[in-house]
Amino acid sequence: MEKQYKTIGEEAWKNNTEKINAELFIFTYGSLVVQLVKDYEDYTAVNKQLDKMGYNIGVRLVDDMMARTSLERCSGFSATAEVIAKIGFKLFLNVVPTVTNWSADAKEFSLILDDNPLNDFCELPPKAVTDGLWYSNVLCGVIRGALEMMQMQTEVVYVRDVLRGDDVSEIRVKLVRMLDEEVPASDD
Amino acid sequence: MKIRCIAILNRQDIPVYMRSFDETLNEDSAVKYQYLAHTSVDVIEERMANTKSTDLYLGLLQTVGELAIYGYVLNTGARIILVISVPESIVRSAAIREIFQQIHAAYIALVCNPFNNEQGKLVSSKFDLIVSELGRVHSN
Repeated sequence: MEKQYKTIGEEAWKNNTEKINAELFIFTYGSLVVQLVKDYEDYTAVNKQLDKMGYNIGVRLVDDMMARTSLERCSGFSATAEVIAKIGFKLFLNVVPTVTNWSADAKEFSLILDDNPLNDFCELPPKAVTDGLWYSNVLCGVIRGALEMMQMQTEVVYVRDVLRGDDVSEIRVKLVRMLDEEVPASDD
Repeated sequence: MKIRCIAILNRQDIPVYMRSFDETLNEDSAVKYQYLAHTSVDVIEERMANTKSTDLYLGLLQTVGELAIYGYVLNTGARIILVISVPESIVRSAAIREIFQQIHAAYIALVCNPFNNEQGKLVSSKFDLIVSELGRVHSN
């Protein structure tokens, strides 16, 4: 099953995606974060905004991903994790994080990113590090939004980041509950 | 050959980065290198006005006592000055050119940082590391 996801992801990346220039994307995201920092001046608020933006991206992105890859329903949460890592991240960022650190009840896992393209060229000022800015927090929102569209309510947070001096970047995904058919609350 | 100082000035000839590798760090050496950087600017302007070539490497600008000063311009108009102590053996210009290219590459990475403050001094720990490494490697 795992091997299948990997090949689906690579096939979709090769054939069904339009590529753009990486530097353009990285600089756009960088100026976005810097502008948010200037506007809000509070790094926790910036984290929250990035997460909200990511949520709005995620709810739309998941439909795009489904259209490109024609996947079936996942058999369980662990299959969902594999799909996020091998297909979702591969399709949109061309990196494949590792899925590890499953909790005992199989409701939480970690995505370990060795190499996050958004981080290229970026150096956080010391104040951002001490005040707790998660530079790529938008990714957490994207995962949360996408999973909510798939009827799963989750909490997704960054726990480690290379920009803060850790050796790898780690995102922790926790399944809170499965949603029945209801309209998701929109973030304004 | 020992690298004594690496300085970067922006288009308006304001120094945005100054790093000296002297063993005896005192007030005098900092001022001395600033002075040298400024005098080199005149030579740079002269060279750039005279030559029609678009080569970024400007070569040996001047020698002051036991120090030799080399220059390099970037496409955006910023200037890099390299001060070395004159060695006994001949210094190949290819080696100096390579040092400049490494500094240029590090400078590009620094400028691409979204948190970089354009107007002020260049502050970056990664850039400092690369420059320190260059200084260390060439301090024999």
